[in-house]
Amino acid sequence: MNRRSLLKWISRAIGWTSALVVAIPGISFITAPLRRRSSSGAIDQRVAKLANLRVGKPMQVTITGSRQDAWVHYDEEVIGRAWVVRETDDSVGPEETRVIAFSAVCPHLGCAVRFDGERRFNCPCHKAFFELSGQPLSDAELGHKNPTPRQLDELECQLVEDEESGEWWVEVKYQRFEHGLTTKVPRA
Amino acid sequence: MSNKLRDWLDDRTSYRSFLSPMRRRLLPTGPNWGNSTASCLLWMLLVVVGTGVLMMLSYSPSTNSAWASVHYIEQSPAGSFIRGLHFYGAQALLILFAVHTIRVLAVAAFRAPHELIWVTGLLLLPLVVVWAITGNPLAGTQKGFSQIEVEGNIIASTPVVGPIIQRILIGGDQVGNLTLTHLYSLHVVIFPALIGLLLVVHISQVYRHGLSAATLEGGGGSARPYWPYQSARNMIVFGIVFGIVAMLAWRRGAPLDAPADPELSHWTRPEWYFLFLFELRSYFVGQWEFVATVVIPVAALLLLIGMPVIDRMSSTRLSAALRGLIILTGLGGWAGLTLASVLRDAKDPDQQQLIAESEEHAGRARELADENGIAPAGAITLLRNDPQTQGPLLFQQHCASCHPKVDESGKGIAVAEPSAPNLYGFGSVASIEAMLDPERVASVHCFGNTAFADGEMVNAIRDLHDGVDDDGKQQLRDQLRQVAIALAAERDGGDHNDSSVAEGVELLTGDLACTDCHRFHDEGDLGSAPDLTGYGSAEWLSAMVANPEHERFYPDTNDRMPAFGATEDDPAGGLLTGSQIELLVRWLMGDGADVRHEPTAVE
Repeated sequence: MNRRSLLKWISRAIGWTSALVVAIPGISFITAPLRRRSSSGAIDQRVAKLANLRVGKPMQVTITGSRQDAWVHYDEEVIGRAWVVRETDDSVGPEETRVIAFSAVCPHLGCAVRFDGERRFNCPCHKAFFELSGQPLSDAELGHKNPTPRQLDELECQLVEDEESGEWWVEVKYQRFEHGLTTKVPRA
Repeated sequence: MSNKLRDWLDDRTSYRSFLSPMRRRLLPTGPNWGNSTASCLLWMLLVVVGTGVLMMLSYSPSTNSAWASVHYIEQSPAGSFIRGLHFYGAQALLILFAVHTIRVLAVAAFRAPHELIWVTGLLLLPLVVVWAITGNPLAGTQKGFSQIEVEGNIIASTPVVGPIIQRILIGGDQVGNLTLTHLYSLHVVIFPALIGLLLVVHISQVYRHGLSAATLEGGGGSARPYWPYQSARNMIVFGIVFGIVAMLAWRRGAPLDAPADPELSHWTRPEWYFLFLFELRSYFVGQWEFVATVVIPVAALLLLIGMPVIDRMSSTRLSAALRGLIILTGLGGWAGLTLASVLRDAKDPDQQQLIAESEEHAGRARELADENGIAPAGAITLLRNDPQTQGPLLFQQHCASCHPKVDESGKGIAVAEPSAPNLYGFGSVASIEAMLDPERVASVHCFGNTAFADGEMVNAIRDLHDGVDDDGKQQLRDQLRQVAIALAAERDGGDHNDSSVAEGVELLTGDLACTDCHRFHDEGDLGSAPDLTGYGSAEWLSAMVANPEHERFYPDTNDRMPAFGATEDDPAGGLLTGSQIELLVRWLMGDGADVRHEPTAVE
C-alpha cells in the first residue's frame, strides 16, 4: 500500500466510523417504541351492577387504569370503553343470567363504537354496523358495504357476587386487539 | 447600495454571475400565463414556510401544551391571521401543485431532456401531501388526534412493514406525547429538508435545460426576456391566489377543534383533499385495504413517473390520447370519490349531529379558555370540568334511559319511553307546581310511569282537591303556588324572612300538612317521604343521585334508581365519581337553559 492509498483509506475509515457511531445509536433511539411494550395487558375490572342492566339496553362502561405516555404518568385515566349487553331478564337467577361484553373499539380502524339507541351498534367513522350480538350486519341489510373485517371483539366477562353487599357485578377482562384483521389478535 | 460597494461584493462573491441566468433568461417565444404555475408554487411555499417559522416561536408540542399554545397563537396580535395564512396557504399549495402537474402532463413537458424535472416534481407531490398531513394533528385537537390515529392504522394495514412504521411514528400503541414530537420534527425539519433537496434538483434542472419546447409553444410571440415580461404575469397570478388565501385567513381564520381527550368519543373525516382516499378505502375491506391505500396510489405515481418512457414508445396521437385519459381519469376519479363521500355525509343526519356536537365542543373550549385561561394540567381540563359539556354526556349515559329532560316545547334530551320524572327545571317553581297539580302529578312528566303513579303523594294531592268547589280550587292553587315558591327558594338556602317564602313555609308546615310525611327543617320526620329541606339544592341533588336509598330520600320505597355514588354499603363503588356527580348536578341546576341538543322524537 502506498502513501496515497493509505491516506485515502484512513480518511474513509474515520469518516464511516464516525457516521456509524452516530447512526447506530440513532436507529436504536428512533425504534425505541418498538421495544417498549405497553404496560397494561388484560385488566379485570368490575364495570356495572347487574341490577342496573336491562335487556335490549346496552350500557357503555369505562375501564380505568394507569397509563404511561412517554414522560407523563397518568394514575387514574379512562383507558378503554366496553359495551355490556344483558341477554336474559330477571326471570332467571344471577347464576343463569347471560351477559356479554364487547370492546367499544371498532375492529375496523379503531374508532369508538356507539349504540343507536334502538337495536344496533355502529361506528361513525366508516359506517360499520353490528347487531347486539356483535355480529356485523350483511351488506344487503345495510345497503352499503360493511367495512368491518370481523364482528365486535367480545371481552371475557363474568358475573361475580360482592362478598360484602351481596350484589351481583359484571366483571370484564378488558384488552385491546389489532385492528383491520379478520381474526381477533390481542395486542402485544 | 452604491455601485462601488456592489462591485466589491461581486469581486468577493461573484454574485452577479450567480444571478445572471435569472436576469438574462430569455423566452424565445415570449411570456405566457400558463407558465406562471411554477413560480406561484414557489412563492406560496415561501409564505407557508415563513408563517410556519413564525408559529414555531410560540408553539409547544406536547399533549399538555399543544392546544394551549395554538390557542395562545390565536390570541396573540396577528396570530390568528398568520395561522390562517399557513392553513389556507398549505391548501393553496396542494391545489397549485395539482394544476402545475396537470399542465406539465398536458403539454408533455416531461420529454427529454426534462425527465429529471418531471420525476423530482412527481416525488415532491406525495411529500407535500404528507407534509400537510403531519401538520394537522399538531394543534392537539380531538380531530387532529383522531386523524393521526386512523392514518396510523392505515399505515399499519400495509403488509409487513406497516405495523413497524406505525409504532415508530405514533411512538407506542397510543397517540400521545411522542406522536406530537415525532410529527413536529417531521413537519418542521425532515419534510422541509427533503422537499428543499428535491426542489434544488428540480429547479437547477430547469435552468440547465431551459423550458421545454412544448411549454414555450404557448407563448406564440417574439422573444422577450423573462424579467419582467414573464415575472409580471407570474406575480399577477400569484397575487390573485395569495389574495384569496389572505382573505380566507383574515375573514375565517384556521379552525381550532376541541382539545384532544381520550374520554370524548371520537370519529373523524380526513381533510377535503384526502377524502377521495377515504372513500376509495371503503370499497376494499379487510386485508385488501392496502390495495386502496398503497397499491393504487403507488401504481398511479409509477405510471406518471414512467410517462417519458411510455411517451417515447408511443405515436404522438397515442401519447396525447393517453395523457388526456390520465388527466380525465385522475380528475374525474378524485372529484367523483370526493363528492360521493361529501354527499353521503350530507345525507346522514347522524353524521350532521356528530359534526354539530364537535363544533359545539370546540366553541365551548375556546370560550372557556378565553374566560378563565388554561390550567397547568392542560387544555384537556377545560371541557372535563365543564358542567355544560359533561352534564349532557353524563345524563345521556346514566340517566336518560329513564329520565327525560325536555322543556315545554319538547326541546332537550328526550326518552322514547320515559319511566321516571322529567328533570327539566327540577326544583323550580314551575316543576314543583306541576307536582302539586292533581291533573299533572300522575302524568309521564311526574310520577306517571313510576311505582308512585298511584302512590301516597299522588293520592294526597288528589284528596286535597276532592270535593272542593271552583272558588276553593282557585284558592288552593294560590296556596300551592306559595308552597312551590317556598320550596323553590330552598335551592338557594331558603330565606324564610322573605315574606313570600314565609307564607309558603307556613302553609306546608301548617294547613297543607306536607310535613305529615315530609321533613322540612325542624318539622316532620325522615323515612316516609323525601326530605324537603334544601330541596333541589346542589347538596340535596348530589346526595339523592349518590344514594336514593338514604334515609333522607327513599329508604324503603326506592323505585329503580341506582345509587350512583359511594354509599355506606359500598364505599368504593358507584357508577359516578364525586366530581362527576357535581358536574351533572351543576348542569341540572342550570335553569334547564338547554338548547344544546336537538329534540329526538318523543311519543
